[in-house]
Amino acid sequence: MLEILINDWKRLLEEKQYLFVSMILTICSIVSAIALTNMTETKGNLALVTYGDVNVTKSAKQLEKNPYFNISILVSPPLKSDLVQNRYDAIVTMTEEGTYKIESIKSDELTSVIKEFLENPLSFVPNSDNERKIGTNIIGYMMMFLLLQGVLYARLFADDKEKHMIERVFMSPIAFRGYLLGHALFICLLIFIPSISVIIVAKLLGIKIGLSLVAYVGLIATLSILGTAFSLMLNSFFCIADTANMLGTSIILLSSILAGSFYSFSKDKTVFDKLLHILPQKDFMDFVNALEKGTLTSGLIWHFIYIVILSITFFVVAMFKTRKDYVYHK
Amino acid sequence: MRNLYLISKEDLKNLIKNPMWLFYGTLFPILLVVILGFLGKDSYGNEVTSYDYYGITLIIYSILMSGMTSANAFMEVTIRKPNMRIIYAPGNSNVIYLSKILSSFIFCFGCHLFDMIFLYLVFDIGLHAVPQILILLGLTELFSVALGVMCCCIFKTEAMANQILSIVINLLAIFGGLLFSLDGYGEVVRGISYLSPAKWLVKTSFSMIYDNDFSWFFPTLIGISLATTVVFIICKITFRKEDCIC
Repeated sequence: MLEILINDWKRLLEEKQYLFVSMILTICSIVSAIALTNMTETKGNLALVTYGDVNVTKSAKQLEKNPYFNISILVSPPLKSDLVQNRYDAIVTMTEEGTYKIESIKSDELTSVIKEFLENPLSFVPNSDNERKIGTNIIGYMMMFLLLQGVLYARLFADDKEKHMIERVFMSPIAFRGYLLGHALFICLLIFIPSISVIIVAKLLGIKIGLSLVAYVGLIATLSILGTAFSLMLNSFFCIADTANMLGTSIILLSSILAGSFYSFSKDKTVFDKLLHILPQKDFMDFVNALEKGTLTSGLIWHFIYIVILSITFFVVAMFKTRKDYVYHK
Repeated sequence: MRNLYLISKEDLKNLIKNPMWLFYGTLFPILLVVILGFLGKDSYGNEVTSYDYYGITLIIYSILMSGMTSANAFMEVTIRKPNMRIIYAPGNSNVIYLSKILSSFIFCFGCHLFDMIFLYLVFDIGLHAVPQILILLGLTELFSVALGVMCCCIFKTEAMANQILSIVINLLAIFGGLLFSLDGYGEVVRGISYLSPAKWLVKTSFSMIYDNDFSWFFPTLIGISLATTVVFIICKITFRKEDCIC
């Protein structure tokens, strides 16, 4: 196993450019995940249209001080494309008598929340149960990139298969389990070490990262194991590296978006939401969310265990498939 | 010219024959739009639906992603030996990368046109200024396809080109608000999102569709054309015949 690990490292060092660029890109994606999370404001955006009326502007100024909505006071209504691009959630037109007209392309639910706010700006408190905290957001943004790296670093294993090196390896006295475990460990470490170092540096620099370092170590390790096991399984089914690569990339992209790693779409208690829990990313996000808010239940711990079991299953499938294909049986 | 035509024709055949790439070109964008549109349906009303938003942004996303297809078409294992034969044949060796760009452009743009027509018919996506949008998307397609080939020329291996492309494009897409809109997330993030060229494309398309505003159209067009020219020049400089020998 150790030989494979060292050998993989030597092979990668042969392509320093490759190693260098992938490390830089990993670091870039994680830095941008942290930066994006720290800079976002999750307030609603309202456009107050005054048409230059002095009285209206005065009362609009009072609304501006509230902590829940970003209010832009405009003289003329904004463009519709701004609404479509989510720049404003709604356009509010005020009349001198103090009545409001709300125009929005968003759901009726949001319109009624805005109405509630405009009627009682002082006593308004939004319902923020669904809001995520910083740590969950950082993990959410990182997740897709970490899983994608699993597919990309599995290249050495794919190379072995594509160039028929693997048959020679199995003719040699190297143990089969050691061979696959070595590759797995190597990919895992390649994903884990750069990403955790970025997090540690961020912590040392005093940037808010939400969760504790120990939690990050555990979570990133879980993600790297999941990514590694998945990519090894995928590669064990295909002999051509590109096919596995492209399929893996699209599966990870789709499932991460579906699981709401960037942006939580789902509403609770629908059948669809329950089905989504098949995706490990969804369980993972729920687990991290609960961990950060301190509302862990035993049910959520089972979700976490499901991820671990799934990773092990992926790895076992990869092992059996490879053994069936390449190891000589009587 | 005749060489270019002949080689491109063969490359195109090779692209069409691979089921994986057909899936990636046609089904994958549709799946993305359907899934994200379905998930985001609740936060939009009836007038402008989530399909209207994601139908545009995700087509731009898949167009940017087509660099992966051209990178594969250039350096795929089965295509390396034919490439080597072309170097030894009399004629200009520039046709090797030019034909890959041309054939993957035709392939990807064909696939994406199919996607657009399908999505337009099924989800009734609001459209306006169709010729301008097609010109814009066509040029973007050419740019991203050439970018894929450029990465292959610079890094010499397909795996690395793919890795870099997929991470860079995903970063650009996230910052450009292609997967979810960033415009509502405060002043700073809004400023950053304009750093991503994807954002300009989205902005241009939406202002043309919803406001009949063409002021962004020509600057974006010129920007993309310049970028495409630069990419072609870099291809020309970094492409070496020796890399095709295997």
